[in-house]
Amino acid sequence: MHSLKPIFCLLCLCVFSLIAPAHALDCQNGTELSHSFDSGANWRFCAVLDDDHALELQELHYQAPGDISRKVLQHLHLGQIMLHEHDETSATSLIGSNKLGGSALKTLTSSVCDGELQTLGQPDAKLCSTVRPTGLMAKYSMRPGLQGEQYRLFSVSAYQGLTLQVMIGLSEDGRIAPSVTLSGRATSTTNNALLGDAFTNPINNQREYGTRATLLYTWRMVFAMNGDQKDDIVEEFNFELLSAQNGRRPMTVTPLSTETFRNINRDAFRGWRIKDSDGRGYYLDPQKSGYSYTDRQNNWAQFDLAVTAFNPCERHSIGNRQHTNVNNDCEGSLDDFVDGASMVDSKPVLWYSLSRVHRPSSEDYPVIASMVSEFELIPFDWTPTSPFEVVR
Amino acid sequence: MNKLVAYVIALLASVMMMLGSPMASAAPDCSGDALISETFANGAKWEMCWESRIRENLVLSDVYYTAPNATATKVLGSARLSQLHVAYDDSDVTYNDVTQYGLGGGYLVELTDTDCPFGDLLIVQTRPTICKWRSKGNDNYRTPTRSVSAESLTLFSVSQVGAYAYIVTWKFYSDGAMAPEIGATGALQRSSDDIELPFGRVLEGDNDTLWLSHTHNYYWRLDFDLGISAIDDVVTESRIELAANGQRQTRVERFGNEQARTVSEDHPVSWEIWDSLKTDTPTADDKGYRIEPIHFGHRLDRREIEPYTEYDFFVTVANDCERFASQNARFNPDCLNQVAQFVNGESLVDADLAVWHRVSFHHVPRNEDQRHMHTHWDGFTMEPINLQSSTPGININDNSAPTIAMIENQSSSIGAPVDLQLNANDSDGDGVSFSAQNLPDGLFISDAGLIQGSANSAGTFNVTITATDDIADARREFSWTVGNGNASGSTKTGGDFFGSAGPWLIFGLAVAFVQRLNRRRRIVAN
Repeated sequence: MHSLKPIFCLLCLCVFSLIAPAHALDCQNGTELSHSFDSGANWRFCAVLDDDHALELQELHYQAPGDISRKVLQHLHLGQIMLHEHDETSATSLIGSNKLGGSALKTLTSSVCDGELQTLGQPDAKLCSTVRPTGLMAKYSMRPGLQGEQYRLFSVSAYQGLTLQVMIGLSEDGRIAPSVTLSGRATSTTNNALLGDAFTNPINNQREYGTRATLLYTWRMVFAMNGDQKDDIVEEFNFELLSAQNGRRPMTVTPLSTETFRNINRDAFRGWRIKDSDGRGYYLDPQKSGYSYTDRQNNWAQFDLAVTAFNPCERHSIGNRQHTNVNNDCEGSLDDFVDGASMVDSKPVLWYSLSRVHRPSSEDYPVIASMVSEFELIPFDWTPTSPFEVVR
Repeated sequence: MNKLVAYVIALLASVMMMLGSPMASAAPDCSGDALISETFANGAKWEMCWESRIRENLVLSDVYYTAPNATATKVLGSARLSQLHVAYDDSDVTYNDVTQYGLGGGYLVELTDTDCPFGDLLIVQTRPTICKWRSKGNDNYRTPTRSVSAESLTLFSVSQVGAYAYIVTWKFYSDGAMAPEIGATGALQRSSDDIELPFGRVLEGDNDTLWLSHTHNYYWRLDFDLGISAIDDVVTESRIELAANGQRQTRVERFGNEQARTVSEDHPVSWEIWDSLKTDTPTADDKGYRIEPIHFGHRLDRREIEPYTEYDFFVTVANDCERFASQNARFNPDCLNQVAQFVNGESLVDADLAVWHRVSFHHVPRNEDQRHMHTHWDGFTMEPINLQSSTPGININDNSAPTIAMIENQSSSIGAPVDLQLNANDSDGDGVSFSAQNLPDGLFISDAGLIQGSANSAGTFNVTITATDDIADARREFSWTVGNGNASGSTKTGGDFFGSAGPWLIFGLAVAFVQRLNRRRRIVAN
């Protein structure tokens, strides 16, 4: 009987999803958008262009083929960008002061949006949605391969000539891929080879050193798996090598029950799962990380991950501005937010950081060749089996 | 390729250049079905020879890239996946799929149009097993008003090894970048009846089976032959460190001998392969490729069992019998067995070089893997360095900078509202956006060049206005005096386009127009 249980559940869900109308999302300061794939997979959410951090998705719901629509995230947005030009002695934070949102957000036209321009009820479109094929989503032996697609939303901000494309990719199979693409104009040069890379400027034919820059992108993710019950749990997975046991790697799963900072452990294949009380969840896969950022001035920036209990006014890892609170108790940084508080009965917030270095070359002049920094949230036991084999 | 052969080839190439004969080596040494040639919309071209081998499957050779409006440059002598190492967490079984089974021959899955809906199928022997797909990639670049997507030539095949199906993929981009990737799909391979073991997970629907976690380690072997000579390539490692003064400084190490290297936990590292290097520090004349290890959240290191797993990047002298990263001696009994052994101190000077790079992926089974897994993609990118003279997709000679209309010196009073519209012209018709430096406090400029607000401190400010079409800029300076006196604002348009110099400019333009007209007439007459 055990093996029939998931099929029965799935059938119930199917029937329920056919009967129950999709309720409207509670988009308090955003606009509801959705996208359905041919397979029946669907994403629904509220899209917001925030004055501080540009693109934000709220009330993000995923519906696998044959499943019902279930909430994954309450908020997903950038929590900060730190830009450190290597000849400077410290990094600049780009969220706040209209460096990413507000007037930094650019109006898009069809020439830079190969999909649908989204106005979100405003006169100008500053959001674009597109659909891209992602190649073979699944293939087994002689069975016909399944082709996958990704629905993408992006905004474009400009900061001192740099272009920052903030994008969130929502795949047919439930993957969520936030990314930032750096492009635009690089204008900073140096005469120190330790701090820059040599190139010939095509505008004036001068030989110059383009200043290298390190960018740290921190994403804030407020999870609300399958609703707002505040029953989500964050777990850390480790697979430490036991040399004395002939190279075995036992899996250890540790709940993160208080607010904490964590780092990637490459050799232990560390990762983090967020699950609801039924075990349905997502996995934060740190695979697309090259190294951990170092910073002497900001303690929080030395960590790849922070886990905090949800507080609506803790939105940015540094330079967190006063928002809705009248008591002025939300100022500060992620260093202040992580204070050891219990995660019980609260929505977990994951602050995930990844860093990349821009090393200039001739290809970056006059406009920087795009540099993408991306990571993925992967459904992890979100459905009892692959939902695509039921449908196709 | 041994040293002597490489020397002879280089010598022949040099002689042919001196004789002024067409460079026979400026194109792949193959034809017909063995040749792949793809020209993109921007004029860039990739050319290469391909073959499918029993062990490695797809082996690419004589890989050439032609940048737009440039001549063909050789990039790779050969490229292949050199091992697919799978280590299970219970350590009971380790697979070396390339050498134990092979990715070609009977392991190659026949593809249909459903598998390759956007491309063409290439035939290996009698079966269609390789998909050649020209696809749209990510952006080459993006500004607020412009963007160009890179195109890519994608080659992929599917090898069914046990329950796993590996999508072995190579992407060659119109901007010169190259990206080998592997997609892991198919079905989970190994399980245990002992569900109490800490080496895997029990998945929904089958409480009696523990599916075992495991690591895929992909090793690629890349024989770089940048430029005319195959024996003058140089490899460097760049390591960035946070200096005491807060700056981030890069140390470049030029490799003189064979090397095995690892990524660093907290120092960004990259490896560069140059077409020769006259000095230890690369200059603006040096061209090459960069491998930046940004896909390293997981890395398998069990050096006590398999010493080569300690490292992520190797540089060796290219040796035809050093084909596989592990179990090499199975098929090359006169050679060493694994890539860490290949690194044995040989000089890299005047030698043909092979670069070996690995990427790991640790797979924890999840319900969604039943019965057939969604593809997990892993790989890396080789980005061009100074291969093109400017941003791919932009021809700077086709673009004219905008022109800002005259701006007279301004004056206003503290608290007085300001409403000043600036104007610019772009002869290409590009959109133009404005920015300003050193505006009086309280004043702001919009993208459209509208300065508004009210100044809140007195003084004289030397303001610089920049107008950009996102490729080229124009600047104008003027002074803005803010007085303490009665509030009087500045509400006007920033001059007609020609300002006070208007009559002279109009006269000059008229002369230029007549001259241009005469020149065109002469061309027509000739």
